[in-house]
Amino acid sequence: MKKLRVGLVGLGNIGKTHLLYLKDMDRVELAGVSDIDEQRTTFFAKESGAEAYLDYRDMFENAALDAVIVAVPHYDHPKVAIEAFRRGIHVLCEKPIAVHVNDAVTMVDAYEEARKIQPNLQFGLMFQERTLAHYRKIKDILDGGELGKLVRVTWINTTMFRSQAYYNSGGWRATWAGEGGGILVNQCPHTLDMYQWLFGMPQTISAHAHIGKYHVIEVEDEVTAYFEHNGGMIGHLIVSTAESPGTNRFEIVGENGKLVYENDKLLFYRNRQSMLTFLRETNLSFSQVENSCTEVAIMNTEPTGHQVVAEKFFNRILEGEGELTAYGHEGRSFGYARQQHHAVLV
Amino acid sequence: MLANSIMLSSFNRAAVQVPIDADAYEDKLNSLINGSNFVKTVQADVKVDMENSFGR
Repeated sequence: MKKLRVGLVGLGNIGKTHLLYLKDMDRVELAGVSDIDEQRTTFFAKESGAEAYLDYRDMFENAALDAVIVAVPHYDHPKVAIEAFRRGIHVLCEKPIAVHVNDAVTMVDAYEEARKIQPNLQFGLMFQERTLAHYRKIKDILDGGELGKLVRVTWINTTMFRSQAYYNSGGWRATWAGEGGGILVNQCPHTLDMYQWLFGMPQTISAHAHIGKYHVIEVEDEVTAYFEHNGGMIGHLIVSTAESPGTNRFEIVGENGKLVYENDKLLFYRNRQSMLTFLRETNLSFSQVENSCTEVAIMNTEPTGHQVVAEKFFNRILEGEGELTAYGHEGRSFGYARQQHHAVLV
Repeated sequence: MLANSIMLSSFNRAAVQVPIDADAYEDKLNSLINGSNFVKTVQADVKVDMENSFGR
């Protein structure tokens, strides 16, 4: 059985998370690990049986890699990924794809360029929350169109509480130079990705981001955003790293009813007739549309998380089939001008 | 794009149309980096409980 030779760049918190599942995968051989911290690199190389490289380019040149997982700080995603693409190495990149749109575009351009030579080159993104059963169920219901015309989406996600100690745990953390932002680029990419995965990109955005409101940091730790979409749907997104207990409440309102997800429960309210039709046609002043509510069963049997995203990525390389959880270049499908296509994921 | 657009709107204190001007955001980011006089405190004794990181 052919084993994929995989490298891991970045051995911080998230890099270690990748090491945990990689060692259980029988079709993957961890060939090299790389981090600028020598002690860390030596330690994890010894622990995992992989070669240690202080410079990822050195690893790309010498470790005969098929694929690489990029888990370095966000700003370095483009340069590491681009070096890999140039050598025909498949890339699975941590979120977010890049800190700003221009970097994301450069990265996807490098991928497209490399694909001219190697058409099956893969570029995946670690959006593991797309594998979670309740979000997949919401996506399924929305794609089915049962809610009719969407009216409003409100998502309060304040479950990412972080202490000051967390922000103090690394020099690059929560700085403009080191991370390029706060909650939006570190804790929230999944929420932002999920929003655009389900509803597409809004046309107009009006937002309030508070800089270091609760933590001693120079970036945002609390954000409220208001979105307007083509077709009239409005959206609200409220995120914070300073609420405990946090809330994850997701309301999706359409003419035919609404979905409410909170506390691991997904409720589906179905209207007996379209609210919009009723609103126009009834001669009653205060009546509302009759509705019924059911709890949607969510099967939790399928595995979820980082490992699933990685498995799909490795499978697609090995078997040449199957879909990735999130494609580096999938922004293309959202109907924006070229420059922004790739950048939906930023 | 969503993240950049949200921050640009907040910095400008105005609504922004999507897609935003990517160069304008990159410029803003660079001015924040260059203009930063924030002194970062780095703590050595921070415990990392990563399993608590992935919310739902």
